[in-house]
Amino acid sequence: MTLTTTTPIIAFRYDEVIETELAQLSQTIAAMPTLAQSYQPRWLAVQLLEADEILIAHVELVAGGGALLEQLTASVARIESECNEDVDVMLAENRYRFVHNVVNAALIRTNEEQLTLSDKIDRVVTHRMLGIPIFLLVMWGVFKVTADMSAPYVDWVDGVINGPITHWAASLLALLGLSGSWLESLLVDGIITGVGGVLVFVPVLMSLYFSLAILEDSGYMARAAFVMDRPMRLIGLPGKSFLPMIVGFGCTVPAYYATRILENKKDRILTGLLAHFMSCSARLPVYVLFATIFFPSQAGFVVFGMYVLGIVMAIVLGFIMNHTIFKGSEQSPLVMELPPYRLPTAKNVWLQMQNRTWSFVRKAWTVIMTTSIIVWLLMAIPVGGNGTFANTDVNQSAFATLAGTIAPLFKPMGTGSWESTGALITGFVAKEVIISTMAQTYNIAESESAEETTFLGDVTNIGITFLTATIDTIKSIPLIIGINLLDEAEDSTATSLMSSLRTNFEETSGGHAALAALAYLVFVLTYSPCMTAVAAERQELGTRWMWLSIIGQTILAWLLGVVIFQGGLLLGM
Amino acid sequence: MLREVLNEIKATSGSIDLNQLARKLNLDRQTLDGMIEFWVRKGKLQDIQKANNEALACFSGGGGACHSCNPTTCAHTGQIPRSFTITLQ
Repeated sequence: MTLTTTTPIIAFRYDEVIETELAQLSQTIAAMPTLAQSYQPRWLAVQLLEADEILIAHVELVAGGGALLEQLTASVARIESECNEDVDVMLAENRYRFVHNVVNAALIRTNEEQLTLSDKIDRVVTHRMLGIPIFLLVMWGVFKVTADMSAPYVDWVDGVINGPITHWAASLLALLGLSGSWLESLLVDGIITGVGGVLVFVPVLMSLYFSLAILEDSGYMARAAFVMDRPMRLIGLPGKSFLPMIVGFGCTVPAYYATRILENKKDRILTGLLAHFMSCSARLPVYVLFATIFFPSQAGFVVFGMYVLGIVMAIVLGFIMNHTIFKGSEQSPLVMELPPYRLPTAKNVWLQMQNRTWSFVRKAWTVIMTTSIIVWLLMAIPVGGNGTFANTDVNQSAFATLAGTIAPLFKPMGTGSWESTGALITGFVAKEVIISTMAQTYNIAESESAEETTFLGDVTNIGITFLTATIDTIKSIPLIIGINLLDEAEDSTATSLMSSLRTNFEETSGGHAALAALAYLVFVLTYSPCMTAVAAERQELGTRWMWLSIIGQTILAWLLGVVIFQGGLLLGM
Repeated sequence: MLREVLNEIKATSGSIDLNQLARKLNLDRQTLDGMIEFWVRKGKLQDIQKANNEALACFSGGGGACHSCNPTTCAHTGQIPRSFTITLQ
């Protein structure tokens, strides 16, 4: 842009009809000494036309103010009748037009079309046809990085928790003369196993949050919301319906509250029901565990597939419901700000990672620990058999008995053991609890006897194994493009939980463990939200929809699980 | 000009980026932002990000369901980009 050398003086005037009324109002104000002493008459006239509440209240109190306000009302009516527009809009319009004309007269724009680099990239990234495939490719990359690169650290955390930490806890209790007591069982088999089973997945979540933080800080995630607007309209929802669903990828609870941005009640209910299918971060450890055990070479793809399946289910169910129960949704346009692309900053990425990971870890020390204690208690109570409290065969525990009563319902899905069923029940508390319950129920076999170590030896070993895990993580980077630099021996070794889970699913599925695992994963994706989300759902959508959601989604989950397993058997998988 | 912005948004089917809208109306971004803020104050446009933050503030103050019920510390909020839509009449 070039600044010209001459600077003409231009007086600002409103349109003639407004100027006429302003002149009359100014004259009246000038004749009122109380007002004329304090305010410029024209300025006050403009403020009154703009309905400035404070000034109107002041005018009401002065002598002659009533007459002035009557004149004001008449002026407003004349302007609005003449211009067919609200007065404040006319005043603002006049100002904008004036500035626009002055700028156009004063500036010479050398480049008429100034497309920034961000605009040029967006022509591809938000393209009608390319936008969604690019979005899916990016998300596939995210999950590939998450699954492949976090594996060495998952093994490290697992080794530390089941090794030194368990050993130290047992040693401390032995020092206090509590070795072999129920307290040792509670601490080791309950809390450490349960909470530790979930904390093992902290590297997975950190890796996911790292990737998402990069995408958000770079400006890409706004584009993702932009391209997903189209599928939402296809199912008849307003484009902004996808915005609460984006929140649902983190946690379903704020997603329910975010439905308040939708004014139409039907849209709010439908969006709330569909937000559940956006896999929240709590489900990720379950996906990763099962994908690693049953689909080891395609773990990243399986996890990605679960997220995509959730979106597809939301679109299909949304389409059906919008043409049946929720007819008549009003489509409205969406204007979004796509921030310019930029290089993510380390500080922002770290802060986002840290904040979200800490939220997960904090949950481990509250909800998950409490549930682990309750599960331990139920597993410690004998039902039948010769066991005593905290010294009973787990298959004859209260937990096994309770879970065992409904386990047969899951046989058509290829599961049907009390262990896997019990985990689904406790998953109602929080989805991560599925993992902690499995860690407790499947891992009850005696731990491998550890070599005698010293505290210093343990600490040194923790450091060495951390360095090894870091080196393995760096070596796993080329895995993203299919190049495996890890030796066979360095590939993740199965933990006892993984082995127990695989064996159990092989037994219950009649040798079709992968198919049963897939059915189980789809069940986890689909069934009732966790209790916190249910409370939010009741508050936002009402009790009726809450119950419909719990029952409907659980039945749908079971049906899908059965179809997947039985259908897979029929197809010879 | 001001009414043109609102009419152009109403006429949009689907979604549009603020930069695209500014180019279409031959306005610079700052001017368009000011006009959009005007229509938000008039109640003709909804500021979705602001509405979301208000919804979350409401749930945390009212004894919300989330165990970390504070939208300023909830790690999963704040992901909604700045966006606007026509207010339903």
